Amino acid sequence: MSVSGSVKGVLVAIDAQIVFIISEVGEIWSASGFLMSTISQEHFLYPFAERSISNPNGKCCAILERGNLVEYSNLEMYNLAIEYAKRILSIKTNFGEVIPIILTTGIDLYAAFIGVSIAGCVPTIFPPYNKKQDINIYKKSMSELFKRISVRNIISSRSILNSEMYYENIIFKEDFASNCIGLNDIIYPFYKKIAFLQHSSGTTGSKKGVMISHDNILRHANTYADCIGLVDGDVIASWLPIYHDMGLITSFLMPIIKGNRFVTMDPVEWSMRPDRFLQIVTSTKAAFAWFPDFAFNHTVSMSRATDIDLSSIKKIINCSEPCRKSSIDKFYQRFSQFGLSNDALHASYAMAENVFCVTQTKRSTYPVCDYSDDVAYVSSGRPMDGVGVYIKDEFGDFVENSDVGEIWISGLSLTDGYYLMPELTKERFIEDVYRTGDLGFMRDGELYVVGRNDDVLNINGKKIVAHDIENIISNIEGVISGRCFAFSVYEISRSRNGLGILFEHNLETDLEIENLKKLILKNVASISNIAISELYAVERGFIVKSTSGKISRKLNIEKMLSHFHSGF
Amino acid sequence: MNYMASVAAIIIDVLDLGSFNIDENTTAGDVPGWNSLSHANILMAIEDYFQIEFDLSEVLSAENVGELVGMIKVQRDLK
Repeated sequence: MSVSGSVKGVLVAIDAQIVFIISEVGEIWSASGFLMSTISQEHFLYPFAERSISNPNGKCCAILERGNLVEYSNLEMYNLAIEYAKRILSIKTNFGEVIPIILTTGIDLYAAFIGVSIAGCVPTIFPPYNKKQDINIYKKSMSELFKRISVRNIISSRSILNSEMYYENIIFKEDFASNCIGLNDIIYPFYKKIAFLQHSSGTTGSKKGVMISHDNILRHANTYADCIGLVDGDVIASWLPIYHDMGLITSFLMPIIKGNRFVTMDPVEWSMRPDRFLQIVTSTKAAFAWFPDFAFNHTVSMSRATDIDLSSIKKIINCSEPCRKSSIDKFYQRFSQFGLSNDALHASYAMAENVFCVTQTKRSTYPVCDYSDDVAYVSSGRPMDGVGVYIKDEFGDFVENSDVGEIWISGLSLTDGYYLMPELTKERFIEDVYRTGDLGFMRDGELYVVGRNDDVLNINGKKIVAHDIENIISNIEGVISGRCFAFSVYEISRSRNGLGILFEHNLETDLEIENLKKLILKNVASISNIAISELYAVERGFIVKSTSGKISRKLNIEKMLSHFHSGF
Repeated sequence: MNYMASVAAIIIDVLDLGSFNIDENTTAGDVPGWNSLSHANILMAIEDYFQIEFDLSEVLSAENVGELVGMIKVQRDLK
């Protein structure tokens, strides 16, 4: 449609070139005078947009809402996403602007993510505020982060945030009905450089956002689907939060790109009622699901189900560092009576820096284990096509004879690093190879992950930086500054990783120490949203530091093991 | 029935605390090991013990043990 006369409105320019115009009535016009009308074929959501036209009534997803599984078609998802895109364009966002989404599991969360991307902005998802956290600390840390990554707009819900919080502009999902503007037949601006950001867990504003490009996610979704044998008609079931890469990639973006229906429920509801997830698998005949290690144990400990059928599951994939044989064994023993096949249990090694999957088991047998120091390690499988995995020593040299070393990865899925963190990117991404910080070994071409090489702790699938926790504790009166040590402890009785703390203090009475312990428990929970499992007050000088003043993690863990009962 | 004492005993048992002072003002952040997963274990143990079923959205809004006990009383009265 050509334009007669001029269009008055806001000019949107990229690299000094006027790309489109938002008219006074909210229409979008190309600089050449044509009303614009589709999304780029290079956009990672193009396959989904095409499917919404070619198969509008096809089942896109089903979401457990108030006890009922509510279906959404391709067109319903697309239309809602377009409403978000229009709204974003109407508020004159910058091209490539990062727009955080803070919503609980629901159709709006998925549609907002798609809509932000279609509008030429960069979506990134953060978990909602948790009541256990201190609201002021939450606001402060998010404010620091949003300032660092130049956030101007955010999508949320009035039930989660209020307008007095820390954002220039909050787009509330509740306001949509009255505020959508009439932008029809639009070509949406295509921000090619970054498709979305995947932020790490973290307790402060130091969360790092991995930049994932359209090429990255498209290639990865296709390669990973081939790797696991995902075919048309396979349903993916999930309870995973999509602010985490496991849920985002496996149980939202891969099915959206490949055209597989996904069925999902809120992670909090899952933690309380894991049987409902098993019932969803039963009713939808789901073929794939991904679990962190702790979820296998949690499901076993909570499940009372007797009327489930898990025979439809082709693969349930343990994706943790490390995967534990005991978790997989217990799950199989509990649920094999309901049709769970022993060749459905699989393992994977994954990280956002590689979009998601690095290695994946493919064999049609029960996961393979290897033993080192009497500990059974589960194979995480072979490198996915196009991914290189190397084991190196502390000097960067390749290790020999299946020895344990640090895991380095390379390949076409490797991302460009961390958003607005060039120093960290330079430190971790070295000549197109990523230094993971994880420890492992290769045997018969398969990777076995055994732990971490740095100060990142894996607490129930959530990666946290030990320094963040230690800083919280060091600032509490009574604790000797810099004299505390955070570590990951495997709680055998609960089959999961908890957080352990050693601290030195300057107090004298037992009552003072007990009160200090209570304060430490409270502060760590309210700031980091992590509950301490083991907390020890130790005598002065107990905690080992190196000559450079750094806490020696290896020596402190050894000392800890020799002094306290623990289930490492 | 002393609801508070029963709930305290369940929490201590689930979290394997040995002895620990839990009163109506206690919050999850005060207690070692009380995280989101063990919270689920505690609620399920309470449901089993009192033969009730919580409304999830309601029970997740409880600010402390006292409010949790209040919800149990309401559920029991409804039976």
